[in-house]
This record gives sequence, C-alpha cells and structure tokens, in this order.
Amino acid sequence: MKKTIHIPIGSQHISLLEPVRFSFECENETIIKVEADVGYVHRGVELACTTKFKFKQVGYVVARVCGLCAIVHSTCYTLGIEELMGIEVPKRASYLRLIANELDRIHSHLLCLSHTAENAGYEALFMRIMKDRELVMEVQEAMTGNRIQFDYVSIGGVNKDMNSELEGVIRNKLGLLHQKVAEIKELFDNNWSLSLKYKNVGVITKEMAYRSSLLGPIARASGVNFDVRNDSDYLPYSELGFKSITMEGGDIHSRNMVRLFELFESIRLIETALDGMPEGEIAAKVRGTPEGESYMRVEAPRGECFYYLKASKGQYLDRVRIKTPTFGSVPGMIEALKGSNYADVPAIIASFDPCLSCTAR
Amino acid sequence: MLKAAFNALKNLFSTPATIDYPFEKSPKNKEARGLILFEEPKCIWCLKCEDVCPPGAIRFTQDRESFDYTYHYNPYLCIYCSECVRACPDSAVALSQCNELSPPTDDKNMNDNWFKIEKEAEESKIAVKELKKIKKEESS
Amino acid sequence: MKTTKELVTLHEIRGAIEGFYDPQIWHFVCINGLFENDELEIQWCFAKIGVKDEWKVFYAKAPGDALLPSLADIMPTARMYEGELRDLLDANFENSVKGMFIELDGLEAPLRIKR
Ligand code: SF4
Ligand code: SF4
Repeated sequence: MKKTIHIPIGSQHISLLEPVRFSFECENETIIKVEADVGYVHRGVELACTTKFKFKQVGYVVARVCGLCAIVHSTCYTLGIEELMGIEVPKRASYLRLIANELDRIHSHLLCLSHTAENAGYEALFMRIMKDRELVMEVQEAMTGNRIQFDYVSIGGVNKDMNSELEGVIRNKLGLLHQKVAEIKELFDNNWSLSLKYKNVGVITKEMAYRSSLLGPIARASGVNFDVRNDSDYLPYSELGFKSITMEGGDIHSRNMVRLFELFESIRLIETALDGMPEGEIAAKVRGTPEGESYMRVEAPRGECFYYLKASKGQYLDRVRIKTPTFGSVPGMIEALKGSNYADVPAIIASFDPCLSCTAR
Repeated sequence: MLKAAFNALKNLFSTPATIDYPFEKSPKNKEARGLILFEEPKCIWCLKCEDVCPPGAIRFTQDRESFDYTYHYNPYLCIYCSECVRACPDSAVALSQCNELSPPTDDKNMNDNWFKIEKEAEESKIAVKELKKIKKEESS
Repeated sequence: MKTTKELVTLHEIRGAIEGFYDPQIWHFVCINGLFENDELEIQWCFAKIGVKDEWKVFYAKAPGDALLPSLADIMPTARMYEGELRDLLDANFENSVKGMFIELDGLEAPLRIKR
C-alpha cells in the first residue's frame, strides 16, 4: 500500500490570492515532496513590448505586469532606457521617484502582513491592517493621481510635481501611519497565538538562502544582507543614509519583522527625502532613440526586479527581459515547504508574498 | 494582548471604516486623474497625441473628400496617463484632464464599433495620402 | 555601471561558472536569452553583493536547436529560468520540459517572432 498521500493546493484555493498550483506528497502531516506550477497568468508582455509598442509607450505597458509593484517596473524600465539614451535625470525627479517607490513598498508590505495574519487565522488583524493601509493609499492618490497604477514615472523624469501643501499631507499621514505600524508591530511581536503559527515555522537557513539565490525580505530574514537599494546608485538611496534590515531567524516571524522594520525605514526615507528635496526641473528633454544593452535592477517590495533591454536605434526595442522577484524565490519556497506541516502551508506561502501576475507576466 | 482585546471592544462601538458605496460617493482627491477633455477649436491637428497614447485611446479619422480630421476618444481604453496632455504642443493645448472617471454609457462607438474606428483611422489616412498624391500629379 | 561580458563556448560554460560562482559574493540574477540572426545567445547574469552596480555576464552563442547545458545543480534557481526560456524561446536546455507558461498546443517559441 502507498504510504504517502498526494494533496494538491490550487490553482484556485481559498488561501491563495492568485492562481498557483502546488502539489504535495505528504507522509502523515509532513510534506516530503513539493511541485510548483506558476504559469497560469501568462500574458506575453515581453513579446508585446518588442512588437506592439514603441519604446516610449513600453513604460506604461510594463507597469501593468504587476498591480502591487507597478511603479517598480516602470522605474526599472525607465532607468534602463535612460541609460541607453544617455539622459541625465534631474535631481528632483530622482527624489520624487524614490518617494513614490517607497510609498509603494509601504502599501505592498502592509498588504502582505495583513495577508499572513489572515492565513494564520487572525482576521481581525487583517481588517485592521487593511484599514491602516488606506492612509498610504490616500497619500499615493494625492501624490501621483492614482491609487494603484500610478503611471508616475516617464522617460526623463516624473509626471507630476510636488508642492508644499502635498508635502504637509504626506508628513501628516505618514506620522499617523508610524504610530499605527508601531501598534501592529507590538501585536506581531507579543501575541501568543500568532507566535504559535509563526515562530520556527517554514525556516530557511542562511546556507539555503545563499544556495537558492534568495532575494528581498525573505533573504534578509535569513541573515543575508542583500538589498538592491545598497547595490545600485540609480536612485539616491545612499544620499539618504539607507540602512538595510536583516534578521537571523529565517522563519515566518522574522520575515514579518523584516517587513515591519522596513516600513519604519521607508517612512524615515520618505521624510528625509522631503527634508532634502532639491529644487529644479522635474523632467529632462528627451531626444533621440536608444541604442545598446542595459542591465538594470531596482529593489521591489518582494526583492530584486531586473530588466534587460536591448535596442538598436529604432522606435521598437529588440529585446525586453523581465525578471521578477517571486519567480526567483519559488525554489526557496519549495525548500521551505519541505518538511513542514501541511497545516502551515497557507501561512508559509503568504509569508513569501508571492505575486503570480509578476511571475508569469 | 490586553491592548488588542481593548481595541477590539472599542471597535465594536465605533462607526464602520467603510462607506455605503452605491448610496454614497466614494471620496476623490482633487488631484486624481481622470478623463481627457478635448477642445476642438484649439486643435492644430498635429496628431502627436495619437502617436504617444499607449493603449490607442485617441484616434483620428480623416474624411476622404474634405481631408478634415475627426477626433475619437475611448474612455474605456484610456489609462489616464496624461501622456497626450504633455504631448500636445504649447501652441495648441487642446487637451486637458479632469478628475471624473468614465461613466456607464450607451455610446454606439464603443465595444466592437471601436475596432471599426481603429481600422478606419489607419485606412483613411493612407487613402488620403494617395488621393493627395493623385491630385498633385494632376495639377503638375 | 560596470559590466564585464565574457564569451564562452557551450562546453566551457559549466567549468567557467563552477570556478567563478561563490554565492556569498555573487548573486545569481537570471538567465537571459536572445534570438538574433538565426542564432541563440544565452547569457548567465551575476551581480556582486554589496558593491554598486557591478555585473558579470557569461554569454554563449549556439544554433537555434542546440542542446544547452543545464546548471541547475550549481544554482537551483537556474531550473526556473531554463524552463521559462524553453517555453518562450524554445532554447533546448537539458532536462527542461515544456509547459511552464504556454500550453503544449500553444504558440511555438513566441520570442523568436520579429516585427
Ligand atoms: S491619458 Fe494616456 S491613455 Fe488616455 S488618451 Fe491620453 S495618452 Fe491615451
Ligand atoms: S496633440 Fe493637441 S493639437 Fe495635436 S492633434 Fe492632439 S489635441 Fe490636437
């Protein structure tokens, strides 16, 4: 008789936000083998970028790769194309881009935290975080004009300027948010029933993280100090004194904590950027066409987002290659699921914050 | 833990954070982006906006006899990026953005008929080019 | 930005990356594929951890239907990118199977389509 049980989860499942399918081989409650299938929402964005849209329009197309980190994709693409065209971006525009990126990180991390809380069975906390997330959504709407799909970054600069009234709104709302996040952090830290679901569950060791080239908050929770904000100079992070956050535990709890501390860091970054906001133009003149190859990375809320662009002086690009963070962390996710209890699966998956629309694009 | 219990109790008696949506309008920032407005008298028909629009929500068709352009705008394709507003030359400024979103409509030019407009926009321009060429040859 | 590109042959790639790759120093970013002039170009991209914008790219050229070596035992994530390129570019990596993104009866190698 067969000793193991085969349990599939997905592609549609109550604990999954997006379509992904895992199939588990379980021995009693313990998972011994995992297979993942991620390609349910493939839309052919890479092909469309090289055949249907001109290079000036592609920035708006790639923003549709993902709803949660839309601005990351358009920023990364725009930085790449600017490098190919040799455009000098005004300082003020760089700062505004950074602020928009950090706001995006805040709302994405809050969503992830609420989702992990929900999947651990704590729905009241889910409601509460979602309510507080509304603060940052309002800031985003005031700053960029849209709540989710910002379309804020354009080649050469940004689309909308900032004024002192808006600055006041941002400072005010972020101050409020800072308090609320502190309260939420206390809950995540001290709540006994949450700790049962989180502590020492889904552990990824440092060696494992290095071996499967993990990225983003997941790697940092395992003690790997890898953050593209440290490793790239295209947005002025080093000017603002950015410090990356690492934890040693490698379990769900540490991942949540990394995200919570990053929220504080993001809020601080935005406030410092507002303090030192340079005056001047918000967009540079765009002339000519791109030529050459560019490798560009930006730190998305979930990790590193990579764009490879190749162009040869035409209106259409030759190749657009997108690497999204979740795609790179699927092997790590499989490692974390192996050996854990089947009942912990939803919480582990949620703690990886998977974004499948990104992954399959 | 105690704090959380206290909070939960407090939430029992406070007003809901959500709004009664269909009966109440959802709050909108005055800076929010919305539909594109077009003022025909100002337009100099440079077709720059048609060229930059990422989803092709602005289309111009050309009349085959008078060579006049007609402006077509599909509010359901528009992504409110305002790229067209920035592309419109300073000498014209025929486009502007308001913060209203697209309402439900029974405009017959939407849905399947929009494909016809797209096709006509391409074809009419080519046809007019040819017509002009013929005219030039005739006059010379 | 400092990008070093190194051309290797398909036989050398395994040795080159085994000798070079230390996961504590280099972060394996992804495998990238191009199809130009009826030739595949596969790039293995690495970025240095903790250093600003330093890249190392190994690239190899091969005819469109060549059997490409799989490096999944050195870098487990490579399996994902190999599967992806197999689907989208029809790059024939060892041990990779079709069907991760596109159904088996779907479009063949969409990224080989040119305007
Ligand atoms: S706002 Fe953007 S999508 Fe809408 S018509 Fe203008 S360019 Fe097109
Ligand atoms: S860019 Fe402005 S002036 Fe030119 S066609 Fe469009 S609306 Fe008219």
